[in-house]
Amino acid sequence: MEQFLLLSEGELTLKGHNRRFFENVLIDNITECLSKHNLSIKREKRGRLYIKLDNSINVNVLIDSLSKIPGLKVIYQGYKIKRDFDIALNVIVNLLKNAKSFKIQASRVDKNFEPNSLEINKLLGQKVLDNMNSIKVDIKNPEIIVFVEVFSDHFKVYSRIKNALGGLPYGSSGKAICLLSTGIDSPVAAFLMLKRGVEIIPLYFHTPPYTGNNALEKVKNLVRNLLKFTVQRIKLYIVNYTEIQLSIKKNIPEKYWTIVSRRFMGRIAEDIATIEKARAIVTGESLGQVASQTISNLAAIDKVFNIPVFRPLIGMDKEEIVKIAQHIDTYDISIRPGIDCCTLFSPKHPETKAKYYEFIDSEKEILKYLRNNYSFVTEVIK
Amino acid sequence: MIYLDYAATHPVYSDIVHNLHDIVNKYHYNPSSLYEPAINTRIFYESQRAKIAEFLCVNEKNVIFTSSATEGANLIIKGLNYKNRKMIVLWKAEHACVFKTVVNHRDVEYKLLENPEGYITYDDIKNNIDKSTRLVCLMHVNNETGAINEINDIAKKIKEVDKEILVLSDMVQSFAKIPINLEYIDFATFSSHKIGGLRGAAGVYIKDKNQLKPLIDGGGQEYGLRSGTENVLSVYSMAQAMEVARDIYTAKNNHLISLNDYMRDICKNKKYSINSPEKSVPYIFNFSTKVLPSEVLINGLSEKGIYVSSASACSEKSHNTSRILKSMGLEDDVINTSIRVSIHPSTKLKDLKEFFNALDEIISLYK
Repeated sequence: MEQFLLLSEGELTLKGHNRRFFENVLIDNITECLSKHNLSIKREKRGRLYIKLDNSINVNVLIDSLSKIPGLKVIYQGYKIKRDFDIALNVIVNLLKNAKSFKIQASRVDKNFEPNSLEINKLLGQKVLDNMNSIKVDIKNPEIIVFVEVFSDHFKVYSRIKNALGGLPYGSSGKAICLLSTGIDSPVAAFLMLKRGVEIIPLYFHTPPYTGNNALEKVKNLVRNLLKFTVQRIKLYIVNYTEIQLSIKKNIPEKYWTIVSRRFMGRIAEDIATIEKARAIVTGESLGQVASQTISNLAAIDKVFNIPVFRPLIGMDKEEIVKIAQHIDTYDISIRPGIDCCTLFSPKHPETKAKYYEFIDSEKEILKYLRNNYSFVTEVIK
Repeated sequence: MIYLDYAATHPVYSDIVHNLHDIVNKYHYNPSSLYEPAINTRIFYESQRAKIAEFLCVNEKNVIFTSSATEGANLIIKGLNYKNRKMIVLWKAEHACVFKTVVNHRDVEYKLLENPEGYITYDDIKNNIDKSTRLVCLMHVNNETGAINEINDIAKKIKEVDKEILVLSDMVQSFAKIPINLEYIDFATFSSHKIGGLRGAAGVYIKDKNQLKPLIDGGGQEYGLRSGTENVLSVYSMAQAMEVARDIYTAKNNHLISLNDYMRDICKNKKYSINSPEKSVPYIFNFSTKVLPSEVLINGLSEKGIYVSSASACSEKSHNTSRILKSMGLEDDVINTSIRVSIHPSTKLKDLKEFFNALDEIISLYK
């Protein structure tokens, strides 16, 4: 008897000619994850991936880390056994532990095998009912479906153990620069794009001394936390933003501080996109959440961009965002107390309908001497 | 590097560091074992207790060692019997190890003392104690402002009214730095790392050990009040540091006072808010610029290699705003911009000058 996990790919099955490409990326990512456990993967037919387990593995930990790999849809757990219905019954009983209802779904790869699939369903179903109390057959809506596949020299018996993340394999959709702060929203935005296969390059605007090493550590923690979804390493850009922030405060009418600041951040993000050959920018804005996130202000911010800006949270309520942040474990990091120094640079009465001409001239002044005059460092988080 | 955060922790004196190697090698035996080197270890360990007891003018049987002053406060507050008296009276500005332990205790009721002067007098207490009062908790020196409570006098007056009321005083910030009199005090806590010894050792003075139940049971060490194999090394460092600190703080008291006067003068000139009452120790000084949040100043100073602290996080959403500054009725802009400078006899005037210059630079950059 051999214990195994079976992984099914998500949307990849819908891809046509490109499927092989997506699959290769996915398999690379899974292989990296499995290497920690000294396991390897085998490609099977019908877009399935097979992992042979051994007794030294903490299966729950493995399943948990696999369930966080973008591009996987379902994880099945099961047994490869001799073609023997009594052994099959034993492992089925094991798979059905604590379940209230089930059905058996047999299929034969070896078409010469007798009895046929329907008969196997009946036969094994009856054996389960004879051996387990308080469990019912439910054909339409069973709690657990036990799959029994008949091969020429073995059975595979398995059932679904966990839904995985879905989405597309990390890195298969190209690269994007993600504006990351210490707040709740931007890590969620980064996660959602990461789940769609985007390789994310987070960018943090550091404003010492107004933001301290505490905040920087928080950002690194947030990035570190995203690693578990991506297998690979993440390169974090840290831009020293103090000089720009101070000259905005000194030269721009107060009500436009935030908007102009976002425009500068946008320009810098695009610079870094060029360096990194990234094709898009990701932000955590949600429409109307704060003054800088009204339609007219977003429009004013968008004017500085020449590449697409993705705002995966744009239509979400705060509660929905918080829910995802909790789900991906960034919430607890984001709410750790720390200085919120945006307040030092945020207007008391922010403009909600930006009028271009009111700040454009003074912005040009700052642009003249600060456009290319900022410093950054990068740090690979792994 | 200019270190102005001695109230947070005190670097271990280098002479002590130098001795540790020999002590580790000589006294690594379990003091409870019966062979000769173990017995020597016990004798050595007990001689540290004797030193500390002598310094405090108490019997060595009334000094027990714990892992931290926090543990000591927990031992007393949780170890007392509240069957007949349930009330604890404490200063609102007590250190968290006393404050939270009382507030979270399920079997007691509590009353909070406050006084806008920034310290507590017997008058603040007298109307808050009665036949239900089990314990009064009042720290000797406040860790954020340096304010001094005349704890022994206050304890004396409490005892005159009702001998059954016990008095606990957190002496972490005063131990070995200013004179201490425990005559009317029932419990006092002190710590090694605040005076230049190692972490992992602290002490509790307990007038009557029968009043307490242990928090940590086991092999019965420390008169059965704190089981666990003795931390010979850290306790040694605490006793050594106590002697060093006692001498140097006494000898350099005038120097500390002149440094404190200097800081007060600068703050008056610059119209900063001075948060430390006149009646404070000279080595802890608290003030507010009212311009930039504490954390910004701490970050900016840190970039320049100058290290200070503040109890207040600046964020409006912050939960840990300073209890003492709040109880003094100070405005939010004072509380949120407060800075604590805590110095040592080795601190030089030029260190403080450099500190204030750096502060000016940081503030003018923002303005």
